[in-house]
Amino acid sequence: MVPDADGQGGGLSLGMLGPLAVERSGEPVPLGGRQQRAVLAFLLIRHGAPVGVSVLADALWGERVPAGSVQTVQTYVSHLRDALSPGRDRWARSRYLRTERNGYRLVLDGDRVDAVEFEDGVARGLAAVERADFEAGKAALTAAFGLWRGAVLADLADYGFVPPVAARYAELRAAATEALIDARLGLGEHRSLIPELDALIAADPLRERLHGQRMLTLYRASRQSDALAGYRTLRALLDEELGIEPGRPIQQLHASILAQDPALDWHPPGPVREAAASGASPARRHLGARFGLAGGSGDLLERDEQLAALKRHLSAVTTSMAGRFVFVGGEAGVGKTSLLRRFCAKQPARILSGACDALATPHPLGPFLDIAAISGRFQDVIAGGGQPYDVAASLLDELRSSRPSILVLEDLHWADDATLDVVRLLARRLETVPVLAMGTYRDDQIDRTHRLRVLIGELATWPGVVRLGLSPLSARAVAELAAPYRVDAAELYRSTGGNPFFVSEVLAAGGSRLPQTVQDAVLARVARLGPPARRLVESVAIVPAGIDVGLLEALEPAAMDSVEECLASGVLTSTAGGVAFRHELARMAVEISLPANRRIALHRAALAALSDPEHGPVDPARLSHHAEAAADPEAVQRFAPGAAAIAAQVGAHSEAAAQYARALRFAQDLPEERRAELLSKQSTECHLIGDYRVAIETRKAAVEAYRHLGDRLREGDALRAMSANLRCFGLVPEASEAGRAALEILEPLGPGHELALAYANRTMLALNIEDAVATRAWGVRTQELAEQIGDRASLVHAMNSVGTLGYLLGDDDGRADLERSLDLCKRWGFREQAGRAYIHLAWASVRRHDYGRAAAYCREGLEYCVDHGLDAWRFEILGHQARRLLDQGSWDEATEATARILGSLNMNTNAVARVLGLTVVALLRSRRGDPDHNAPMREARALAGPTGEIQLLLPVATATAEVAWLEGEPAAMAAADSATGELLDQATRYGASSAISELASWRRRCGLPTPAIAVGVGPYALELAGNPGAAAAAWLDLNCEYEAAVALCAGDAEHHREALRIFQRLGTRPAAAIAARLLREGGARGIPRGPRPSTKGNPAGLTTRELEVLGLIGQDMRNRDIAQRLHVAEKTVDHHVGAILAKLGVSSRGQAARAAARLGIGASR
Amino acid sequence: MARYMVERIFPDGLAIPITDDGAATSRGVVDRNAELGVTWVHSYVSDDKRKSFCIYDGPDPESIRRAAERNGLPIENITRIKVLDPYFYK
Repeated sequence: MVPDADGQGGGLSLGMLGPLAVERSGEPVPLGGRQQRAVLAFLLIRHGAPVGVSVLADALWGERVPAGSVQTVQTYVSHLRDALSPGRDRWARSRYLRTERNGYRLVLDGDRVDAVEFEDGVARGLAAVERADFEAGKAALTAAFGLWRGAVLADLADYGFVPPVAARYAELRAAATEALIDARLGLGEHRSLIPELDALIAADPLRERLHGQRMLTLYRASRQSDALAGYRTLRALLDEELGIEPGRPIQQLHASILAQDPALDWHPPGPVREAAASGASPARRHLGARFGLAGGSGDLLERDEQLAALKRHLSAVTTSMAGRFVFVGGEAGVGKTSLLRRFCAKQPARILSGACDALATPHPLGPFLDIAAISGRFQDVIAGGGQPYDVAASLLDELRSSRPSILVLEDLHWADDATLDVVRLLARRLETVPVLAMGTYRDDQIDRTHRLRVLIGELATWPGVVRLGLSPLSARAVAELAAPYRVDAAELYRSTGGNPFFVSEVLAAGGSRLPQTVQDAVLARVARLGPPARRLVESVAIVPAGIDVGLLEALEPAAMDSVEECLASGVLTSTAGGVAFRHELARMAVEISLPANRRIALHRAALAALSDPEHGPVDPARLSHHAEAAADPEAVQRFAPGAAAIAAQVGAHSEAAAQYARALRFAQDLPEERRAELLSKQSTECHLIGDYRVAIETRKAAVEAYRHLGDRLREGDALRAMSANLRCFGLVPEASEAGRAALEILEPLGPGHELALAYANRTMLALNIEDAVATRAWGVRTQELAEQIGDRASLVHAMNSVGTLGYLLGDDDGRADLERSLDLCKRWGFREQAGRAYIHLAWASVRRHDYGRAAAYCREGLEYCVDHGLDAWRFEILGHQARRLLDQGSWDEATEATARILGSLNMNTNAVARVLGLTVVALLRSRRGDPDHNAPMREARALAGPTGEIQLLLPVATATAEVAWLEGEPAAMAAADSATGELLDQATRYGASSAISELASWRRRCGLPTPAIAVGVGPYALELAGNPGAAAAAWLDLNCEYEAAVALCAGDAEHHREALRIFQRLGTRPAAAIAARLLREGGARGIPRGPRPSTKGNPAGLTTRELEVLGLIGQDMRNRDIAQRLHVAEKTVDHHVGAILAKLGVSSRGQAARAAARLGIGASR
Repeated sequence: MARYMVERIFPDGLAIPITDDGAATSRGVVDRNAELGVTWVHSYVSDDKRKSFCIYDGPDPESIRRAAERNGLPIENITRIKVLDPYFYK
């Protein structure tokens, strides 16, 4: 057992269901006098929340607060701390009674509170009774009652704060009592219940439900006349006392008893379940609804845990007023929606809910359209074509209230880009609004590269974002559901995989005979409907996510009378504006089963009805779906391009691309010019989302189409655009070829926008290979033409390229130009160009070791790209970010960044992002002595090789050299020689000075011949000038410890000793071995072996962050200053300090600081 | 999924008692690992309980390190391994 911060093992057991009592390991803890106990009781009632001293004083003394009350309270708290943690260090932070601003907080963690256990037990018991698991219900409730030792806080009952709490638990107790009676009724214990019910009614004669339960009990015990007499007694009592009649449930029960309704008879528990609700007898459901007996309200098998988790999250939102986002994942039909419905049904909070629909091309911002009904302002933002960040801001405003809200976003696996962007922004600002947001998704339908999976992965580390998984039912639960139907439960479990929807569908479809497939089950159920109802169901099936009444009437006017039949059969369910399938799987089963001619006819009818303005605003996204399904090329052309333009406008570029692709599938009869235009637009959208393969393919087709048309201007312009497509995919020689071809066509046509852009493109191509002379020359040509014709797009493009070149070469004016181009792009609305400016700022600042600026550029750039849906751009910035984090020694964060780049993109991706991610991963592994660095190096080399771009070749060449240096293998050395040698030639040819000194340094470290180079400044230059000490100092100024130690390896014995110390602290074994070898070769003795291996990276099991915090504690920093230094919340630091004290087994910061010194943490700083 | 051997050194010895606490500790490790896609297959522990050789399945070395950090376990060395079965050659 690890001792806690107060030097005590084991948790406390606190009791308030009776006189206040605290025990540790079964031993009572003395709590002192009444006032002192009242302080603890008050803090216990509000445990986890801060309580102000003045509030405490009010509770103790009411209106007559004496002078000096604050000191008195402080004394009580101090005594209580001693009592709860005997032998504690007076100066250490107390584990239980934390001091808060202006007050205290009782913190319980792993300790038991009887009232909390009672509430949990009652909740479990009620849930069990509700799903007719009477055994479990009885057990949980009986155990919960066992926790009571007397009246709530009996010894403190005269304090004003006790009665409201006591009343709350009395109410809970009464509800639990009724549920326990239900459970025992369900178990057939009616005979033994009568005396108990008599006693309960005597104590609380006006509680109607008890009378109802007594009547039912008497009836089941064959005492009909007593049951009826009980009704008369109740009626007389209510009339006399309150002048009212018994409630309707009791009246109906009375009538049923008179009629001897068989539904009142007792049945052995088990057989009736909501999952098979349509099979339950109407009488029984009716009864259940009235008395909360079996089968009435739906039960959810094996979901108690998830419901409890959601409850916990909601109460955390309520107490902290900070939001949470729960992603609820599971296969289709596993019951995600049912879970949320069940949960929401019992919450008093405001509930906003929206769903994504299964249109082949989703509707931009779909779920938020559903929610837009809540307020005028929000509706305006959505209707006004708001950008994701407008929508998110407006939604946050909506949610920012004193009362928590619940936000439900269903089926996020179908979400469009804009919706996901809103989700991302919402999740990132969660802590500012009291909302429990819940998003459901089918985890079996999103692969590794699905945008939702990427999003969830990114948000995984955000505070307040959690995932909740739903598994299929167990074989036992399926058997339980199947029991009443005499079906082979094992076979049912096998064929359905425990999917609750399939199970219930199969059971509801007949039960006596197991259908061949689940689809058959759905269809069989539909087949039992009358012909008009069947036609109706088929019409509903062609509209994903439900159909509104207006459309239904248009499609199937004759079948409207059958709505009732469909609802009663359980195939359809009613929605706000119409009807929908109970489940998407059922809809798909029906849609697939439709004969082609019928399906097309239905979609045609839907198309006609929906494009009639009478029906409401025309929605091109929906219409293009029906147009395609109706095989109507003319309608597809009418709606798909419009839907694409709207999607592109709000940043939903995937949807835009898909809509253009749809339009192109039906483009056979289009004029070639129109087809070429659609191809160009699709290519642009694909380029924006990083789908370069398709972008290149469609652009090529556009070029050919324009060539065929003889439209030279557009042909040239398309070639210029293709050049950018090719370059981002890493096909640099092809990109240059296309760029040249574009100029050949455009130059003879004379000055113009297209020619200016083609010049700008050449400027960019020259920049990418870092050819300084060519970049400047093309830059000047572009700028002259741009100014001549007043073309802003090409002007900012060239200003960006030339500025970037300057910045790379260490010219501050270059950086200023680049920043100015960014401002202009933002002002003039060139979003993609602004994104490119951020990429270049990140690239050049990291290359120049300008890490302070690099951090800001990366942060702002990532945010800008998120806000504007520039996905491909975002990953390129992330690549530079990963490199920055590696250089700055934040290796865990660097690992996370690379995981995001490499895990979320497939091979069809941005070459820069991927090469940077791969080299950082390879270096991290190599430096730590971990395996598997060869595969990422190989892939990076293959990607970078053909591009000829220094920004890709440099990280690959230096990483190759570093791996060779660490391993010392001849083969690795040969690879390093050729990689660095060739690149050094190229860099020298183009005058890329920053790359030259880095490459030359690595060649020298590897013992490879190094040409004499005259280079000016920076740590690499100092090392090459034969001054490793100065180089290391320069690296340390830049906060690059590892690089400093590497530089020191070129120095003398003292340098080697320092390098060894740094490598040992960083846990970089291979480099430490090199430094140790250098020392030995220098004849040194007593080479330090470093701290004990197990405490090297991880003393006492401290995390990297905790080590960092411990180091700062060692410098006598306060939590607030630590929080500032580490850019985290002070609360987070509190948490880390608590964990550090616990792990080190010490009770004070002073002891922790001494431990830090002993472990050598923070000593060097 | 690759297989790795992770060597760990415990200066004060490793103690996972065969009690409910020990079971909870092991389960905690398994649960936390699962979130990272890392599976602890089994371990060999030296007689003095100061060194352990743990066999893990995982996507990459970074996940192995992250899992160790979450579980507060030290890492001495990670090696990528394959099974070599002596009876395969008989």
